[in-house]
Amino acid sequence: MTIVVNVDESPLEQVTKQLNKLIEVIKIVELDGSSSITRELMLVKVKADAQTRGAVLDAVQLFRAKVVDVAPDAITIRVTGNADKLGDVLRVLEPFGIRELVQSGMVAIGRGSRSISERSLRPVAVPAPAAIG
Amino acid sequence: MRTDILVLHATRELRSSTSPHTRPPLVARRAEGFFHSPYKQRFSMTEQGGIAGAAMTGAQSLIKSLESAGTTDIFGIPGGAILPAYDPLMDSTLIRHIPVRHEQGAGHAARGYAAATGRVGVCMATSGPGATNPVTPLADAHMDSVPLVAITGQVGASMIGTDAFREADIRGITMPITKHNFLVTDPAEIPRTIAEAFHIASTGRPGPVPVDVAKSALQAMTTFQWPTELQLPGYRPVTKPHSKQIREAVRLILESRKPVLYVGGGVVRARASAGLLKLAEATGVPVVTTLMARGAFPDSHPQHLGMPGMHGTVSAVAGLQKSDLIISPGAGFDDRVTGNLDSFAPNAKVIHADIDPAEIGKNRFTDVPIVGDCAEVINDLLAVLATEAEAGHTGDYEGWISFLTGVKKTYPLGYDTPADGSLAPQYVIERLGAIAGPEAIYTSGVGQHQMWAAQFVKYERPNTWLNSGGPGTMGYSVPAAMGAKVGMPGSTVWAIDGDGCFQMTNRELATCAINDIPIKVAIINNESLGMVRQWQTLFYNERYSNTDLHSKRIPDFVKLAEAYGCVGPACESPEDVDATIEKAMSINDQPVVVDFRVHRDAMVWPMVAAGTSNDEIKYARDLAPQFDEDDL
Repeated sequence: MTIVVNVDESPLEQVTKQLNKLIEVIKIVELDGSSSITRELMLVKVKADAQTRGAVLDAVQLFRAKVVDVAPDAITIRVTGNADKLGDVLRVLEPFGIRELVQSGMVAIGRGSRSISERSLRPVAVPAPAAIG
Repeated sequence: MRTDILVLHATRELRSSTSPHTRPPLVARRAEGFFHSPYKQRFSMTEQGGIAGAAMTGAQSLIKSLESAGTTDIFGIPGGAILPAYDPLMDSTLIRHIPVRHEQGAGHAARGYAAATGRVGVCMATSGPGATNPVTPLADAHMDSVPLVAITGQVGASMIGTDAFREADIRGITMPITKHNFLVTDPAEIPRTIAEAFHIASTGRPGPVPVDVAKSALQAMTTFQWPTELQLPGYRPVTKPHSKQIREAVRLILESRKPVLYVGGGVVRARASAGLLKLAEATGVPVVTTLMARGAFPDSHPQHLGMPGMHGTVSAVAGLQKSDLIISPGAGFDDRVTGNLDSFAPNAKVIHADIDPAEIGKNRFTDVPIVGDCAEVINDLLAVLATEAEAGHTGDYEGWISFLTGVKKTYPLGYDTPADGSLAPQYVIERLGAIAGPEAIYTSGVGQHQMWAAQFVKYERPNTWLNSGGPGTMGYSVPAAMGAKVGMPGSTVWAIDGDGCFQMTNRELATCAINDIPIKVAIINNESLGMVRQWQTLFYNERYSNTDLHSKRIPDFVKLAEAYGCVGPACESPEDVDATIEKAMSINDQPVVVDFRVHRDAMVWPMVAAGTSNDEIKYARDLAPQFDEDDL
C-alpha cells in the first residue's frame, strides 16, 4: 500500500506511528524521491475524429502511452508514469478535447535489491489462560 | 510542508472479512498442538469429546474460548443474534454472567471491573442496538487504556449487508475507537479470534477489542481447538526500554536542578506503583499524579504535590510550570494538564516514557523518548541511578524542594463552608474519603463531584480511583462501581456521583440489588449540571442555560433507591454527614444510595481556565497565587 502525505515533520511522525498501531500493518518505510520509483496510471478519453486522430496518435507515441479503445470520434489512452509525466500528457492532449479522465493514486517501490517484506515473521506464543485473563 | 511517501506492508488477509468464503487458511499453519493441562481443568464442557478438536457448535466453542482465556465474569444482555451463545453460557461453571439493564451499563461495568482488577473486562450483547449501546464504553476504554473484550452477536453471515433485522456494522462503527476489532463468520475461527482479542486487549497499551460473531457461525457445527501460538506479525509492543535512552534520562535527572515526576495513568496500568515509590524516594524528586494516576503514588507522601491540571493543586501546577525537567512515565500531556501548550513548562526538558510510541512527542516535544513498559522503565532507571549513586553522583534539588514545600503549605486545597449552614459538597466527599479510607475503591461520574473526589479523597493505593478521564463520560460511576465490586468483592466500593450523572445510568441499581452486588452510592445532589453551571457562572455572565435539573424535587432519590431494592437515606446538614456515611458503611447486604443534598453554588478551585496558560491559575475566584521567584 502506498500512502502519500503532505505534512510537516512532526505530523508525519504521528501519521507513521498511528499507522504502525494498526495491527494489520507489519512495516512502514518512508521513501525519498531519489531512491524510489513512483508510478501513476491514467486512462483518458480524447476527442479524435478523422482530421485530428493522427496528431493525437503522435502524442501517444511521443509519451509511450498506449491506445486501449477506439471509437469514430474518440480514442482512449492509457498512460503510466510519475505525476510530472501525466501532467505533461494532459497539457498536450487538452487542446484536442478531453471527454473523460480517470486516474489512480501513486504506487511506489524502493530502488535496489532490498525488499520491505524481508523481516522474518515469528509467531507469538499464546499466553497461558490464567495470565491473559 | 513537504510531500512524503510511506509504503506499508500489511497482512494480506484482512481478517474477519465479511465473506465466509475468503477465510484464509491460517488455522492449518498454527494448529500444531493444543493446550494441555494445567488449562484442561478450566474447561467445564469436556464431556462432549475431550479438549482438542471436540465437535460442538460455534456457540459452545465461543463459551469454551472465553473460559480458556480466563473469563470468570461477563456483563451482558441476551438478544436474537447472540442467543445461541447464551444457551451454553447457562451451563458454564466457570463464568458468572450478570444480566444488566442496558448494554451501556454492561460496557461500563466491564470497564470498572478491568480498572479495579487489572484483568480483562468482558461484556456481551446482541446485534444492532445491542452492539451500538456499548459504543460509548468502548470509546471510553480506548481513551483511558482499559483492557476490554466486547462480544456481540451479528446477523447471519449471508444476511450481512442486507439491512437485516437488527443489523449494524459494529466493526465499522468501532474501528476508530477501539484498539482492534474482529468480525467472525467462520466458526472454526472463534477460538483463535478470542485468544487474539484477549492478547491484544491486555498487552502493550491496553484497550478495547470488540468481537462481532455472526449468528450463523454460532449455530454451525465446528471443532474447538485452542491455539498454541498467534500469528500477529504487525503487533509487537516494545516493553523493554532502550538502555541508551535510560542512561540519557539519568544524565538529565542528575544534571537538573528543578525536576518533577509527572505521573500518568500508564503507571497504574503497568502496575508500576511500587517502583515509582522507590524511584521518587531514591531521587527525592517531587511527584504530581494526573487524574488518571490518582493512587499511583500515596497522597500522604511528603514528596507528593497533588494533581496537576485545570483543577490541580497550586503546588502541582507550579511544580510542572517552573520545572527544568519533566520526567513523565505514562502520561499523555493532555490539554487539561498542560493548559495552553505553547506556554506549558517553558524551561523544562522532557523525558517521556510510554508503551505506546505514538504518545511520545504527540503534544509536547520530547528530549528523551523512552518506548517501554512503565514498570520496566522505572526499574531500569533505578538500576542506573544506583550505579551513579555508588560513584557519588546524586542530584541536588534542595532549593527546588523547599520552594515547592513552601507553595504546598501556602496554597493547600480548601473550600468555603456555606454561610447559610447548608452542606458543602467538598465536605461530604472529604468525610467520605476519611471514613471509607484508602482501602475502599472509589468511582465517579464526570463534573464537579469528580474533581472534588480527585481532590479531597486521599488515595494511597493504585486501582482504587476509577473514573472516565480522557473521554469524560457522564454516567460511568454506578455501573463502573458494580463492575469493580464484582471484581473485588472484598472491597468497599463507593460511587461518588452527581445528580446529573446518576440519572444517566442508575437503572443498574436493579442489577446490583438482584445480583447481590452491594455497592454504595453518594449522590452529590446540587440539583444542576454543576460543572457546566460553574462555567456559566464564570464565563457566561451567570446565564444558566439548561443546567437546572430540579433534582431535589424530581426524582425523589430516596424513593427511587427504595424502588430499586436499595437503602436510601438522605442527608442535608453537616452534622448528619458522618453518621449517614457510617450507617451506609454498616450495610453490606444491600446497595446503599445516599442523597447528599448540597449547596448548589460551590465551585471547583483551583482553576486554570480552558485554553489559558498554567501561569494564569486561580487559587479561588479572582485570586492568583503569588510566587516569590527569588525562592527558586
